[in-house]
Order: sequence, then structure tokens, then C-alpha cells
Amino acid sequence: MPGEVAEIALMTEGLRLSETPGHAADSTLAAIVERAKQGDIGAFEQVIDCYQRKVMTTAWRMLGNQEDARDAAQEVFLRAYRYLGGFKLDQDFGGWLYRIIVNVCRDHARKRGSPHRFASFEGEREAGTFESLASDEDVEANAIKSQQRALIVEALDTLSAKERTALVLRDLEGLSTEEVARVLGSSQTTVRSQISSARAKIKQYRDRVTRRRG
Amino acid sequence: MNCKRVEELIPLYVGGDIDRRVTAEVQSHLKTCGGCAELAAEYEASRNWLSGASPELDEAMLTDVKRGVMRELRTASSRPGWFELMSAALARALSRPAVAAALLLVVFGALTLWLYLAKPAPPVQVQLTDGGSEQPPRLPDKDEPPGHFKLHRRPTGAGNRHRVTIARSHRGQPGDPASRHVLTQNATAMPEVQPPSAFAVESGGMLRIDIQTGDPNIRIIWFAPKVVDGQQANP
Repeated sequence: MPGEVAEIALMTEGLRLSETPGHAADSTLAAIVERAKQGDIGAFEQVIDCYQRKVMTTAWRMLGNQEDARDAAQEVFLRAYRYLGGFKLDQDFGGWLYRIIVNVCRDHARKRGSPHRFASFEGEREAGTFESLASDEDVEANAIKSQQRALIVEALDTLSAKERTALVLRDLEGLSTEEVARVLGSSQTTVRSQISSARAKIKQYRDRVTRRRG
Repeated sequence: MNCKRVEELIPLYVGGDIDRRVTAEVQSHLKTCGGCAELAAEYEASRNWLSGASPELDEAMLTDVKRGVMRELRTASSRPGWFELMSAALARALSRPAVAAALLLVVFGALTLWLYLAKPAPPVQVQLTDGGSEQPPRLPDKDEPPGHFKLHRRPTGAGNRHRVTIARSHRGQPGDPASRHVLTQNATAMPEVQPPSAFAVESGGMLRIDIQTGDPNIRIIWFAPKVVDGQQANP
């Protein structure tokens, strides 16, 4: 069974949640979800194995830091387990899970209320991310990457909650406009408008940063 | 397509969010307009920059998330519910004869007390009056005690048809002077016509009875056959 999970995880890795990872894996995944729906905790553990990376990444992009993303990811899976009874097996599980992610992150952001903390280089070093790094070049490269991530978080912070969600799902998670609209429960026209405005704001922020450096 | 329109469309164009026809128009404009082409390139770069640095997730954190979720789920599934806790407590209690006997006594006592305290509802006074057209049925006052009704009977117009209205009467005041009969009914039952002569009708058609309830907004209108108990009654 662990081999089976690893195979599914490999196939879903890097793909959109709503994308079919292949017929065999899809049917296996459907069977796992069905077992989990019937209250099989072991099966749900396999669902977590398949989706936790995607859930964490999306939550990180929505919330802007790892700690919040970790808390949100836990809440996403707990909520998914709680509401799994209402999930119809002919539905797209990924899309269903995205709706939960969006709701959980929205609740989280509302509760937090304060500005995002950035995943800074210092923070990551303190958290031990760079402990295993050996050379100075690696440290430097990671510092640049970390700084870029912080800038991206800062850029995403210039957006409204709705713009941010739409942009993250469309540009960073790779969902189509139609899928984003379905996840957010709004029209495609609204989503396009949010995406357009969000891209313009991100460009403005990047232009500002570039000018400051130049 | 002019530059202004293209500038509006570029944020969507770079992500492939506009239809083919408009995309083709934007593309043909970009071929001829350097400024717009530069703007489109900047948007492209901005999009690439945004998606350039994905969050790095370390395995320890992922394991931590999974462990936390599973711990929570296992705790929740092993935690008995309220009903299960109560059932277990009751089963434990009933396994001891003395406790079971005491419980039975308590239940029996509670049942007896409840039966003793549950008295039948007080009877309702129903007054049948011939109010006439000069005295229309009165709506009940707020402070009026429940359970006291008047029946007004008055002609409804042509022919010999009468309108009978049941309205609550005031405590302490004597009934209307035209009052003829007093009927006593149970509060929960619809007042029956007793004796039949009291509700006699003189001609064909249905007898209409308006019942004004304690709530001034609720009035029950009831049509009854003119013949009561198979006999034509006297007026």
C-alpha cells in the first residue's frame, strides 16, 4: 500500500489538483477517497500523503508564511475529513479540496488580521533550512532565492484578498479561469477582472522594486 | 484596435485569458506598436518573476502536519459521544440490583406525580346570544380571561338565514341582554350545537358560524348544514 500511495503522489506531484493524473491512479485515488469517506482513517492518511504538498504550497502562497500555512494545512485536512461525507464521488476531489483551502485561508487571514510575516532569510536560517548547506555559493544562492520569495510575498500583500486568491489559483496553481470561478463560486468575468487588476498591481510592485535597485 | 484598448487587454493577454479572436487582434497590434509590445513584455516578465520562487517545504514540516492531523482524527474517533457515555453509565448502574430498584422507584414516582399534576383543562363557557344587527360581535380584549365565549345569531340579509358568531365575553359583565342559551364545552373541542333548537335555521342554504379566537387576527369561519341531527330545527 505505501508503494501505491507513493505512485499516486508521484503522479499528482506538480499537477493541478483538478487534473486527472492518469486513469489507473485516478481510479485508485477514487477508491482511497471512497474508503476515507466511509470513515477509514488509514485511507484518509493516504489522501494526506497525496495532497499535503499541494495544500501546503497553496496555503503558503495565500497566507505568506510557513507557520500559518502549516496551521491552515492541518485545518484543511481536518475540515476535509469532517465534510467528506458530503463529497460526491463523481465530483472533482481536487476542486473540492481547493474550495476548502480557500475557505480555511480566508478564515485564517481574517483571524490573524495583522500584516504577513515574511519568510526571510534570517527566519529560514533560524528554522534550520540552511543547516545542511555546505558552500558559500549555496548560501548566497539561497539567500537570493529567499529574498525573492520575501519580495513575492510582499507583492502579493499589495492585493486584496479576492485578487490574491484569484491570482494564486490562476497563475501560481495553474487552474483555468473556469476552474478558478468554480472554486471561488463567482463568474468567469469577475475572475478575469480580479486577475487583470492583480497582474497590474504585481507589475507595478516589481517596477518599483526594480527602480529602487537600479 | 487602439493602444488604450490593447493596454487594457495586455494583463489578460499575457495569461491567455482572452478568446482567440481578441488575442489575434492584440497580436497584430503588438507587431506594429513598439510601446504596447514593450508593455506586454514587462507583464510577461512580471508573471515569470512571480512564479519563479516556489515555497520550499521541508519534509519535517510535512510530517509534522500529517502527524498533527492523524493525532486529532484518532483522538476524535476514539472519544465516545454523549449518548455512548450516558448508555454506558446507565448500563453500569442497572447492573446493580439496588441501584436499578432505586431508579425504577424514581421513575415510577415521577410518573405518578406527573399524572397527578396533569389536570384537565377548564371548561369553556359558550353563550349563545341573539345579538341582532345593532350589536355586532365584539373582539376580545387583551385582559380578557380565556375560556368564555358568546354566540351571536343575527339575520344575514334576505330570506330567513342567520349569521351565528361566537365571541369571547367579558368576565364580571353580564351577558348581552339578548342572551338566550349558555352552552358548556371543553376548551379543546370545537363548540357543538346543543340543543339543536338553539341553532335552528328557517330556510335552505348553509349556516355560517364565525368563531373569533383569543388572537384577534385569527377567526374561524365554519359552514354547517342547516339540519341538525337529521331534523329541521325551529328558530
